[in-house]
Amino acid sequence: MLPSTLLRIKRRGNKVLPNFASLNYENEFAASLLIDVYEEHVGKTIGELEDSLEDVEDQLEDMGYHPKFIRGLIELLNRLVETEKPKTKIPPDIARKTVFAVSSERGFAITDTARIEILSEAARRLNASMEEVVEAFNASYDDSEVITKFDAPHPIDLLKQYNLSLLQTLIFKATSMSLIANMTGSEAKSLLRMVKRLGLMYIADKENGVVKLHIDGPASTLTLTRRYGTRMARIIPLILRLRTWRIRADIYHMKRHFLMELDERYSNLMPSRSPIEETFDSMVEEDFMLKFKALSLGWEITREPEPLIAESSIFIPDFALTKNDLKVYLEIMGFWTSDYIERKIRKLEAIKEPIIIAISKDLACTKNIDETLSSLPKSKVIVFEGKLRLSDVMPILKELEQQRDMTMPKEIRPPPSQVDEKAITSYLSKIQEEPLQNVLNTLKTFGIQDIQEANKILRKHGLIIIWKGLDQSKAIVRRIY
Amino acid sequence: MNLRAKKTTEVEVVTLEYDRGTVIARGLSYEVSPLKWDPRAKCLRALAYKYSEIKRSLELLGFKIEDKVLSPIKGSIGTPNLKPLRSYQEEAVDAWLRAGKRGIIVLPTGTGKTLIAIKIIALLNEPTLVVVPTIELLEQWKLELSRALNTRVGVFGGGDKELAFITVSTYNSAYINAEELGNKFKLLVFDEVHHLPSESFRQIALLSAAPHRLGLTATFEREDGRHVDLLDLVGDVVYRKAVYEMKSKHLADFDLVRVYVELTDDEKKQFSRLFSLYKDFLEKKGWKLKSLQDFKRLIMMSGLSKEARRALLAWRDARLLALNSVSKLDVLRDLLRKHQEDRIIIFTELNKTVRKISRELLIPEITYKTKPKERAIVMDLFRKGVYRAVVTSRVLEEGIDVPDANIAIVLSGTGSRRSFIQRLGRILRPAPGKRAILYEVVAKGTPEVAISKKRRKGLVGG
Repeated sequence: MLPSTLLRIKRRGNKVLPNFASLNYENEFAASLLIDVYEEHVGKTIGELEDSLEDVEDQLEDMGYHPKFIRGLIELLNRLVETEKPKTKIPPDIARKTVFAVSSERGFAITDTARIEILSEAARRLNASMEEVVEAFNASYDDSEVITKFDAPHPIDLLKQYNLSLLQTLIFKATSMSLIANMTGSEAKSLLRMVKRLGLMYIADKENGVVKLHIDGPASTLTLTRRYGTRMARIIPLILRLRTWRIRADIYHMKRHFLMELDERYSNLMPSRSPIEETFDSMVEEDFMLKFKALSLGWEITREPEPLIAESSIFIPDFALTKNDLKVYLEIMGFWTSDYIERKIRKLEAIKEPIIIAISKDLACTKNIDETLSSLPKSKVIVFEGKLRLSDVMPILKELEQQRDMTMPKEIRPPPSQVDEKAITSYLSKIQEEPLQNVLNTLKTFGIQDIQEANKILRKHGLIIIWKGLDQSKAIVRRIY
Repeated sequence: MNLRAKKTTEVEVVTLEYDRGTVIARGLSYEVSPLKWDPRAKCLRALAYKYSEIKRSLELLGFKIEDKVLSPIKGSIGTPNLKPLRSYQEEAVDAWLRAGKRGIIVLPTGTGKTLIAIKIIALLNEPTLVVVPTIELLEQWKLELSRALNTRVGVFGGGDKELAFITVSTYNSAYINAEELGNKFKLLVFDEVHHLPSESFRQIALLSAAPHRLGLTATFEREDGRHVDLLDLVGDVVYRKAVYEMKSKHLADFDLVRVYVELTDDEKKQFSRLFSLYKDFLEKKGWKLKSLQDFKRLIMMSGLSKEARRALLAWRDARLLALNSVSKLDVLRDLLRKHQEDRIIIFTELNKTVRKISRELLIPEITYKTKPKERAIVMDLFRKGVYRAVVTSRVLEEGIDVPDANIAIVLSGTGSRRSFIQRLGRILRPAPGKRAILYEVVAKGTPEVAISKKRRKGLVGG
């Protein structure tokens, strides 16, 4: 993240993008030149480093580099520097106090002589030589700190870090952000954990079959605010760990609204990190997965499958079990209360996918255990003690298979694409005026079932329905062009 | 997405809760302004500062309210130990109480706004958050509050994170932690309240449910016009007195002395070369810089065109030249020689110049880089008189209490009227027989003359 004064953007209309540094030879050159300056100044003072940097900045600007780009790199490099106060015989702050106090008494160092007198009086009071006092006095200014360590980055890594920082700095100005991504359950989990920890909120839905998370903060629905921008920026590194992703952020910049859209094609401009690994929430889950895999029964098991959406929030079941075109989810519950179970079941019902809930009797945090468990729908709930066994789950899976076999083959309806457009066109082109009922009857034979759909098609062919009262049988279809 | 309908015979119970800077309501089957439906949490929601208004509306509509919004810090103040108030201070307190414990008091620097606030805090005896702009003020308020209220005062900001019945915070910390602070206090006091309307800081007020609010300032009007928003955030101006109404009665008399310096011949040559580079660019573009906005536009352009950048750099260098003229340091030396017995604050705009003066003339410095601990030491020794002068850039501008300073030397500065008044205020602490002097050192034949004129305008008529 950079100070907003160093933000560089590209604008086109209402679109905005960070002005990323290409990973080309020119930029690598500037980066390595700056890194060299830092390396050369290990053992020297911050003041000396700053002076040298000023020169190099000027040089680079003369070569045509943008000063904000150079400043941004310097900003990042400064964070890699470790410094130390110079060692002096007298502690700097004591020298400082004494010198300033004497100076105040004597009317300040308004001439060279006065300056020497002040310093020698300070030395007398501190029982030290004047050189020692001057040394310690100078050391009390922060630009005299000495650089002890500098971890030189690779120039390309510096540029990648710069690009990430630039993107984050632009996100500071975001009022909301959407993430559209194909995620595994583990990935979604760690993302949402971060969203929660940062005090942000989300609403989930699907865009072209892909999960979309719209992220903002509690006050966002009430007022346009960039309050949550810095927090959203902290999610970016996590997003970059996804294989495919797309973000869309509303940016409020210079009193104007912009849209920023970015996807995984930009990933290689920024630091790459290892993908998010899957983790087990409990031993029960790990144990179940191993057993299930060992005893292959024609069913496949996937841990933390793709996120599901329940009433605009994300739900990630522990497992997906699949066999051919059959898919059922399995959720193993940890500690529970009757309230919690009820809420969970209501939430899962909203998903409209088959989900088996496995409830451990041992992990109940409620008094009326049996009462609660007996009130639950038997078809979906497994109650177990100790470890979850395959024999607990298999009966339900078998039942599902049987159900599927019974309902096959399904009733086959013609898909809408089979509507014969040509025949419709040729029929309608002949109509000047015709009772509505006749037209509807004919259209039905072409696969157009309801009147709304029919109306749309009539309009397309220059025909309108003229109603004479509410009675459909009296209405007519008439050509208007 | 309405909740289940209630039996009509029952009085509907609405639960109000605090959620990270907002108030959420459950149990309502329709929107009641200013609450709005939030599809993410499936409840009604409003910004926390609307809390009192929401309660009033719901009560008016006949709902029974289960109120869980505030979780105020427990405690109370000790036996107050207050200095007697002056008549205008009493008037200000009364005006604020009459206005429904909301509103802003505008009084010149050095007229005891702190005392007014302490009186109000003592009267209300509610959990109170005092928000101040700088670390110095943080320390200063803490000291005065704990002394006058006989109570331990929490400090939230500048590295400390302690919440107490009476807590002082900086605007920065209060902004960053607004969600956490929003329901813990019943009274908010904003010192230098003209800072509050900025995009970030206003959130301190918006995300807080505290019903009672007090704002203090010497300079209510903002150049960007945003002070009008304070009505909504804190309340109306309930009491106001200007500098000219107060002068010589409650404040030290002061003189304004302008000292012109000539640039050296070398400096003059360089200056006119640089300045014409800048002027030529403007003329070529047909621009006249009349306002800060125009200037900002130039700065924005400089990010785009090389020519604009060059013009801007030339302007900057010309200005630096005028600011750092050798002659100015000579004048400073003369003034220091002249005021052997006085307490002096030297203002200069650039940190580089601050450092130069500090190193050469052996005068303690305070810049934005100075660490809080070091700052506190310098201020303490200055107050005690061990240090007779301090050189600073801008950090001392706001209301810091320097009771014995009577000379201010402004070596350079921006054209902002507010900051000039603030600086002036530094030396206007009443002390018997005291006469304060403000020196303004301006380079002849440079744009500084115009800047200085603009600054002085702020003095006429307060």
